[in-house]
Amino acid sequence: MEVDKGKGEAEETRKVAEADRDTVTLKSSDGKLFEVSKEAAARLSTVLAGMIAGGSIDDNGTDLKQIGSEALENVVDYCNKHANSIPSAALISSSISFNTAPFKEPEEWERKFVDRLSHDALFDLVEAANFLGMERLLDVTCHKISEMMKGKSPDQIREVFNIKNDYTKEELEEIRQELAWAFYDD
Amino acid sequence: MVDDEEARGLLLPDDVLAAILRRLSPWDLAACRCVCKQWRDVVNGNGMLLPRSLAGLVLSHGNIRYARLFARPGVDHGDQCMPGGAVLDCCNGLLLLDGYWVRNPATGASASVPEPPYASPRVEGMGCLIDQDAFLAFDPAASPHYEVFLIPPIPCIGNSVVLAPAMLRLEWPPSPFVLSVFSSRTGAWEERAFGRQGEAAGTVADMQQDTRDFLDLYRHAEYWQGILYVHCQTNYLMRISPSDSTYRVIKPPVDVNQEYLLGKSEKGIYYALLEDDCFRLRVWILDDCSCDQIEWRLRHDSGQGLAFPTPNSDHGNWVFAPLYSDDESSDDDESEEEYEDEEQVEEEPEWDSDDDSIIPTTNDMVEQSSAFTQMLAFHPYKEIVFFGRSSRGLAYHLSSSKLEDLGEVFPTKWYHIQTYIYLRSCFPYTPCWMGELPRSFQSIQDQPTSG
Repeated sequence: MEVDKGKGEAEETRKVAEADRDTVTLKSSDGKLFEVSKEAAARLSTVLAGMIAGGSIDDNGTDLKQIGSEALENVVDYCNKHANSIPSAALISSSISFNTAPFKEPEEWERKFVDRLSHDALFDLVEAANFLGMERLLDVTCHKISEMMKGKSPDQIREVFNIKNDYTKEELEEIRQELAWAFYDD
Repeated sequence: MVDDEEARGLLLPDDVLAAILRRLSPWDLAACRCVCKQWRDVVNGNGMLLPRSLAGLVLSHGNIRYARLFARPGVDHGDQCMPGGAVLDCCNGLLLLDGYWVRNPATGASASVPEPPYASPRVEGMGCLIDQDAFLAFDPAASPHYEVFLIPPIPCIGNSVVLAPAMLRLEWPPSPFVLSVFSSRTGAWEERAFGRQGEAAGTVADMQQDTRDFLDLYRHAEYWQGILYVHCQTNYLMRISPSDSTYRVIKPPVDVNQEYLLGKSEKGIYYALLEDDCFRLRVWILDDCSCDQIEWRLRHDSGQGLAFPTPNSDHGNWVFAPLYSDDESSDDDESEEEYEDEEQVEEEPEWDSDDDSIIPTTNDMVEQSSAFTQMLAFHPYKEIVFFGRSSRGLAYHLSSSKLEDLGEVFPTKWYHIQTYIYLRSCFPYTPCWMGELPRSFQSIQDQPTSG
């Protein structure tokens, strides 16, 4: 299957192909066009699958106003890579997580895929994956972000994720008291 | 790669944030709660620090005073130290210990419960000479408070006191049934009268015809959706509703002269019966939707007897977690070493009934009948029944009818002990990471240590 790698600028002037094409064109919030295999889009995104099935795909570029071009490029890139990768046994839950639901571990290429992203790109991608109902991509990005939180103090987490502390000193003390067991070492 | 000054920060919808945080250990979650209010609300709102996974089974052996956590290696049960002292009950991560201590092994919090009033006769003219069973009612999702219920046994069963004929004709349990209840809200015991709805289990005389032997059998109680279900002598279930001070007797699905196992699992309250002679396992679920019509619904019938495997030490990888992780002087080095060794074993998918730890079964009925088999507990979240057979722990999956070997349920260092050691009690342990224990909170140092 001929799969186009998303190159927004080049696609912009592209003529709409015949109706039974095997790709769909997606349009980012800033008007860039990306093409992705219809099969991969339908398989990986519940939202796109719904749109394809419902015939609401616009051959001139389906508007995805919530997703910027960088994030959409990553989404398309991921879909294309995924279409070309052979699912391995590692897809089946492997780690024993503390919580009940076992999570699927990312595969090696998925790890690399998210590792190369900047923080901002990663955060945009997790939102895009959520918006598009891409369970697997959401899994992979959430895994990456959770890895970034592990073993860190609240201050360090705020720094990494650039989050403002909206607690008062008293509130913070109270919340630490509630979980005194976790802060013995501080 | 990333310039912090340009980073715009992580602003995620609650559901995505929850999907991320759900992957973290309780320690990381504790830190995340301190990051900002949104994060705290997501952690709290999703009950991420409440009991939601099975860490292992808390086992008590024969005359050994302390309990031990029998768990899959690699499961993150943290620094939880099982306390010295016999475990009377375990409810949503909280343990009730002999000598009336309540302890949360996950958070290390302990609280003392005052000595209960003497197990006095609850029914006029009937002496209660046997200890009352004590059960915990604790649901951290609903309240940080807990209650302890004492359930008096059937009068004089198991001892030689002869009751007057008039007493024998009385209904049991009586109505009202006066129970001693401790509440952490008040910090005191009180006598609470529970009125019966529906029929009694029988007369005192009926109860005394029960011929089961009174070994140190342990009967479970389960606290679920604000109701305390107590497995009583002669296999009836007491459904105690603290909110309106009533109780109801639920008769067992099949009247047999054998102990059932009560448990809480995926779909609510379960009752299991393993027939001694043929190892046929039947499991019922309590249909408790409307109070007027409480029925047992058959969930599983193994039909012919379970084909138990021949014990084989090559299978199973559950081990005993270190006993006192806060006690340097632990004399349990051997087991700890064993535990650490095991930790390097590659983790296997949790409860993957297709993996090869499902052991081949044998039809050697001679051997089958000779091994002592007991039901231990239900898995609180999955339809699995735990068994003890000879010295092995087994997990039976209701969905696939497969048996999984978990490992030795007796620490190896005890093999030289000649006396017969049996499993006295077994509780599924689900760590709860939230909250201090209300009232009379004391640090673990104040707790009497076991000898």
